[in-house]
Amino acid sequence: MKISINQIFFVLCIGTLISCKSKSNNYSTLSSSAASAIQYKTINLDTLKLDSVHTSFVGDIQISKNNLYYIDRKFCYVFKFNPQGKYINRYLGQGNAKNELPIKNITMSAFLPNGNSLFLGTNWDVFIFDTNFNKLDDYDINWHSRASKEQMASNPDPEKMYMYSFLYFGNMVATNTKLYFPVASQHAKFNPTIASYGKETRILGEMEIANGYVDKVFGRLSPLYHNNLNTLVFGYAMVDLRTDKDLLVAFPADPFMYIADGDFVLSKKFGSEGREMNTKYVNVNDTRMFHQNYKQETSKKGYYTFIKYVPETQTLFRGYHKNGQSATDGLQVYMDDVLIADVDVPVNFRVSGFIAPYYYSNSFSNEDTEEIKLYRFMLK
Amino acid sequence: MRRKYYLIVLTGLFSCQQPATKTPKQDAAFKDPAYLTELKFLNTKVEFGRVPRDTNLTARYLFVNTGKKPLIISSVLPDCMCTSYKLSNKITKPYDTGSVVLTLSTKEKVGPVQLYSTVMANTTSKMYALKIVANVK
Repeated sequence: MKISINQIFFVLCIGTLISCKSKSNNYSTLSSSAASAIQYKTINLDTLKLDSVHTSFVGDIQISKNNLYYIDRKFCYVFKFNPQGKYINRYLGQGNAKNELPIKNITMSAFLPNGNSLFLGTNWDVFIFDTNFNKLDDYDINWHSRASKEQMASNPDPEKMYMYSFLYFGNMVATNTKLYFPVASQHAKFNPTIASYGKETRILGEMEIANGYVDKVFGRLSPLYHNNLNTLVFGYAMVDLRTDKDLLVAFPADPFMYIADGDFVLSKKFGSEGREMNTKYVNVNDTRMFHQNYKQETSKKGYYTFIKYVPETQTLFRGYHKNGQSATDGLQVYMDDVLIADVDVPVNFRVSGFIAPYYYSNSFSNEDTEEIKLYRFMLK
Repeated sequence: MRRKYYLIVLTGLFSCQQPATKTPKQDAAFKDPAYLTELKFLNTKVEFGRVPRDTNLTARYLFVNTGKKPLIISSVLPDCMCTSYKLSNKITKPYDTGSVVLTLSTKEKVGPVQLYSTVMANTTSKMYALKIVANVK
């Protein structure tokens, strides 16, 4: 069979087009699943009080290698506790010594699967420590930006990395080699007050842990955001890892969750809507009012607050606020992408991780009583 | 780095960041137990309730050197550029008192505000958090 040059060229063009399309997103080709097989109507939460430590009480719990770590974001300490809440040791702290953090705040942090830890300061400065909190490396994140201020101002191109920054209140997750984190644009001409943001913004960043190079910003908001400016008040992503290669992606306004690979080729969407959620969102088209409106919306409306995948039990948790009046948040539990529980939990409850046989929540600090407590629970 | 200063501020989405302030170099004496003292803040939180925008809120925090060595406050690090501070005395003798005054400008603030400042001193605890709470109308 004879194949002409034109035929080869045609096939290459089609192939390139398909490849480009799949890298932008393939939301429209996904079939959805809202499978539900409820196994648990309630979960019993045990309160666990951590041993008293000198802390700013601004921080949170992370779990690594069967220990609880309280990350003090102001003092930059890392307190290690055993699964019963007994104090073991204190590491790091603000300062300029080798194993201290020369930063004002820890803005974000993550433990790597190998037990190393990564801390982000206030100025895109990254610090990496081994399992004993000896410093391995530090560097500034390299966004590869050579654009001038004028170029950036006049060219609000959603494909360019310089458009984006960390979503500091979001979460970041790490393999042993890569860091994934939500990003958002605050550009004056491209931000969540502008309708085109829904379709065009990138939502995630990928960084090489070895050198701080941001490989790419990628992924798109789900179709829910494309034509409804009001949903853009919650126009950002939440991310976790199901495997080294599979990302779990969720959005505060979208009942569905998505599985994507590192190029954001989506393979599945699933999820069930939370209960009693007030989703009549209101956004503004004035950037000066965005902050105020966002605060109001978070206090009055229902939205998904976090996702956490626990690989040890292959269980996925998703939390949600219901509305401004509810005394509880909701917690959904998925196994094999099927909803197996949707229960009430304290407001602002999140799942931090798993140390057999318990799942552990985030921390709840009371600086007046100088107590840090968390919850633990089993699924049974 | 240049683009950081270009981006507009949607402060609700992004935490209140302050440019590249590093902690000051700590004197070796801060690590030497022989030079350490004890510090007690009489208050660490000031609540203002509802306040208007474009206001300066002034919060005063009193402290006592309850140890036996001179107290040296090496730094006061507010959360953001909206807050400035004044320290009554950098060195406080044993059993003497002093104060930290924080002034918060509510100019760019709206809604509930919680801002921290971290105080570093030559004590065993080393760091202390001072808090301003307000609800900007």
